[in-house]
Amino acid sequence: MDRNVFCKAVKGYHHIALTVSDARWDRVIEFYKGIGFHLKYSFHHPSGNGKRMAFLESEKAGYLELFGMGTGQLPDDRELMHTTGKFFHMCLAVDKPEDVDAVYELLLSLGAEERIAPRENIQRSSHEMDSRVAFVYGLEREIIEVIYLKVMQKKESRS
Amino acid sequence: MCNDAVKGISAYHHTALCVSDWARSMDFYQRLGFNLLIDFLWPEGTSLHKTILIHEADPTLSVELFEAGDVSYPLPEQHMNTKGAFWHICFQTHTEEDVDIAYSYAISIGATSRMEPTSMRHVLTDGGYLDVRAAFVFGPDGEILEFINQKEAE
Repeated sequence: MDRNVFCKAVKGYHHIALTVSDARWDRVIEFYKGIGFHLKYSFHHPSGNGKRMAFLESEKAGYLELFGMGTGQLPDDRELMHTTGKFFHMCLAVDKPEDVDAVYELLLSLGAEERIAPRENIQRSSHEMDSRVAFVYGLEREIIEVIYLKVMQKKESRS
Repeated sequence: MCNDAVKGISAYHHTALCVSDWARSMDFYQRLGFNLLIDFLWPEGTSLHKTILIHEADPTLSVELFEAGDVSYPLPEQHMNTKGAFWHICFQTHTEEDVDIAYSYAISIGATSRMEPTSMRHVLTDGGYLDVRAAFVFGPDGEILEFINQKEAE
C-alpha cells in the first residue's frame, strides 16, 4: 500500500480529544459553547466505566471530544512542552489580526487564564512567518492558542 | 448569546506535538500524507525545529512538531487520564473500510497498534445511537492517532 491510497482514504480532520474532570464537566461545556461549539453527541465511555463523553461541534473548527475521566493535574509548562509524544496545545485560526485580541478577551471573560497576551510573532529562518498569537489556559489548564497567520513564504523564493 | 468575537474564529488550525527525533517524526508524518507548510528554528538561536505540517486531504488536519522532546520527561502511560490533557488527534475517513486501510497503512510505516479497527455503537443520552468504526495507533513518540468513520446519529 502506498501513501496515495492512504490519502484517498482520509477525508480530513475529525477531532482532538481533551480529558476533563467530572466535577467541571458542565462548566467546560459552557466554556467551549462560549467560543462557538455546541453539544452534538453525549454518551458514556464504551468501556462501561461510567465516565461521560461528548462530541462538541463547531461549524468552523470541527469536533472537540471530551472525556470526563480526568484526575491529577498537568505538569508545569516547561515539563509539558518537553514531554515526548505529548500533544500540548490546540490552536484556533482567526480571520484578522484584531480577532486574536477579541477572541483572547472573550476566552478570559469565559474563565480562561492568561498565558501569553496577544503579540506579534515574527519568524525569519528557513521560512518566514508573521503572525499574531495569544495563548490562554482553559478551565482544566489545557493550553489554547489563537493565531492569525499573516505572511508565509520560503526565504529562498525571495532572493 | 453569541459574542461577536466568535465570528472571527475561522477554523481549527493545528495541534502541537512534542517530538524527540524531528527527522524521524517528519518522515513518519510525511508518509502519513502530511506536507510541510512552514519550518523554522525555535527557540531562536538553537538548531531545534518547529514545523507545521498540513494534510493533503484537508489543510485543517494539521500538526505542529516541536523538536523539544526530553528523555527526562517520557510520556506517562496514563496521560489520557490527566485533566486538561489533549491526548489524541483523529482523522475522519470516507468509509468504514477506509478505517481499516488507514490503520494497516499506518502500521506498515512504523506505527504500533493501540486498537485494531472496531465497530462501536454509542448509546446517546438522548436515546439515539452513534455508530462509528475506529482504530488507534501510536506514533513514533507514543502519541496517539485515531482513524474514524462516523455515521450521522440515528
